[in-house]
Amino acid sequence: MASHLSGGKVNIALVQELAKNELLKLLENIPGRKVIVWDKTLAGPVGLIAKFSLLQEREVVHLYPLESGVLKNNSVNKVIFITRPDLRLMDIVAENVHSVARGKSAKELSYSKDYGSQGGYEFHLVFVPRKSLLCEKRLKNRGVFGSFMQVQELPCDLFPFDNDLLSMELESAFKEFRLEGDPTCLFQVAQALGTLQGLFGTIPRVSGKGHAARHVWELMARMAREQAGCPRPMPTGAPAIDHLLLLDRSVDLLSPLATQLTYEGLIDEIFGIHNCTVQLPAEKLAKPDDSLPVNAGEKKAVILNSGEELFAEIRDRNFNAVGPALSRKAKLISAQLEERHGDKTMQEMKQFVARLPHMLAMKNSLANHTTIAELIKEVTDSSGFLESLQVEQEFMNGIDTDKVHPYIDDLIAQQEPLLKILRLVCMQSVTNSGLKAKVLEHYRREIVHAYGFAQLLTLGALEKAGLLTPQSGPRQYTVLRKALRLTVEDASETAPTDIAFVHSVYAPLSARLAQALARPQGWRALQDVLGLLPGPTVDEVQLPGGGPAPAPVPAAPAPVRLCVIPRTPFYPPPLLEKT
Amino acid sequence: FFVRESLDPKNSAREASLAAAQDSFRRARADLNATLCEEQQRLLRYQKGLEDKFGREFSGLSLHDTVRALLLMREVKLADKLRAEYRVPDRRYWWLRILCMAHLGDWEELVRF
Repeated sequence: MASHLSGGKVNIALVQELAKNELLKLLENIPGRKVIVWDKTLAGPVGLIAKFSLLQEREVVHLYPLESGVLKNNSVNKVIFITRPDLRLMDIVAENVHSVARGKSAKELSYSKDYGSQGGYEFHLVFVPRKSLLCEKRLKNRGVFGSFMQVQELPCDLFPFDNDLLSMELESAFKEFRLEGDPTCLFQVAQALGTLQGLFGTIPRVSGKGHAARHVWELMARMAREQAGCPRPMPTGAPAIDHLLLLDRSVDLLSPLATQLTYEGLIDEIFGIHNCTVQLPAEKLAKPDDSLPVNAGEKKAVILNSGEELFAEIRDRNFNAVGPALSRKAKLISAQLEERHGDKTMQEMKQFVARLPHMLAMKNSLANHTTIAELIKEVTDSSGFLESLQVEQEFMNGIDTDKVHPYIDDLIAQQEPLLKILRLVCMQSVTNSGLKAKVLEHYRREIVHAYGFAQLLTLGALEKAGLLTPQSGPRQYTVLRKALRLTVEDASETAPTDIAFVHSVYAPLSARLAQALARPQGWRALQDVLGLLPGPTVDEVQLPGGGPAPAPVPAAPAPVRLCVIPRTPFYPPPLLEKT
Repeated sequence: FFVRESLDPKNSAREASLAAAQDSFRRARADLNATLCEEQQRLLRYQKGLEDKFGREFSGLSLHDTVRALLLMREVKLADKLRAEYRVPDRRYWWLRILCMAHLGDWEELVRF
């Protein structure tokens, strides 16, 4: 059902299959018509593993988002809550259950004859990816735990996004780990990797950097030891993944702060991509032949993944290269369509007709992407965007990072969106390896003055997360920049030879680390550099299930896929996977 | 640093919790934060005064917004006073002045700079 997932080097569709089966098994365990109440953060990702039609086949009548207040009433009396184990969500669930119970008893009082004979509601609760004792306790405290017929878990950690990308969709992982010191997410990462190894075979080599990476590796090793007693059926044959790279986000704080300049990256910067879909203003995308009038302000969802041929081609291009690519495609298609006017034999005609649906689909997607590209162009051509970009690039090249930057000052004075300012300030802090006390104080005072006292908390959080720090020790960014060639002066945007094209100047640190691994001597050549990065280094060899050591699989120079990085400093996965 | 949490809820004891926060900041030797807490207390008191004077909501605005509100009401003197009191840098203040004048359509005033 999802052909775009299976095309890559590793068959990601297997992951999807596994998750789907688990979900369906769960649903089949609860016979009869039912409704599902989703935790909002899960609805999108789960949509990636099972389509609504598939759920309908299992007699799911309705999907509701989980909201506080009264549960939307309906004729169906089997309700399944599917949530993350999160205490706040538990409260909402409890509220929902209470509301139904109250509503029912009120009805029973007034219409006892009609309703009294009906069976009560049946509640089920499903935790994704696993149960939490704390949550069950909370439900008990709220007095609703007994109302649930079953409490189950859906062991689904990884959501397939594309043929080379899986995400755990843990939005607050970085925040939880760095700010709240809660390592639950690391456990989940380790579990997810365990699942992955169960599917694709034990990954022979593991490299990692940072405390979180070390932690995950230890957890993985422990889980492997625990499982050694009861061996799971491991897939035979050569493992499909030959190298695992674990990176703690705190190793590379700079990359998510920089403005992404690839096509997909810019769509995300401007409109935001969630679960491979982007919400665009519908009136811009409406086709003339659409019979339905489109309301202004309405959003239209466009699905973005490599299943779409055109998007697969341009998604990772620098935006400056997208325009030419689009116009080239347009010419090609119109040329193909023109062919039909020429004289043709019956045979040729047939071929043409066979290709027609494909060509029309191409034409459609071309139109879509041209519109999107135009929308982006509007933003990227604005002087504000260009100025910010220039400042970013100055910082990355280590220019003027040690004093208060006038552009940031101006932005604060004009009360531009706080996020934009924080992003620049944090970037300055990272590239300068911490700001001088005076500079930091200046920014702090300005931000609190302009945006209100409450922002003191925000700034505190940023400091704790290491994004905004007072200067201390040697200037490691300067060293790193040289050693890893983080900035490239003459990067070509249209015909890239180096990963630096994604930011026009800057090559993400994580990508450089991954590249280094693909070289024959691996990270050994980088010892000095690795020493500068925070946290311990992991470099281990894993043997599958105590068997004889396998012949070393040469680490194929795999294409490095750039992780699309959302803009918030509290970026989720501490995990960039190279397959 | 727990006291910081107690700032946010719009409770009646805001000043008290601010003072407590200021204290703990001082003890933690985060001088700037302590100063900011103190400024915030002063600002809140001042905003109360303004509310009495003009009969509109001020409390909860940031310093920047307060100054802007004053400028938009053409209370330049009061704004100047605030600026001196909180040591607002010239650069930001003039941005604000210019934007406000433009907003009011006060072009003649703007030309006089």
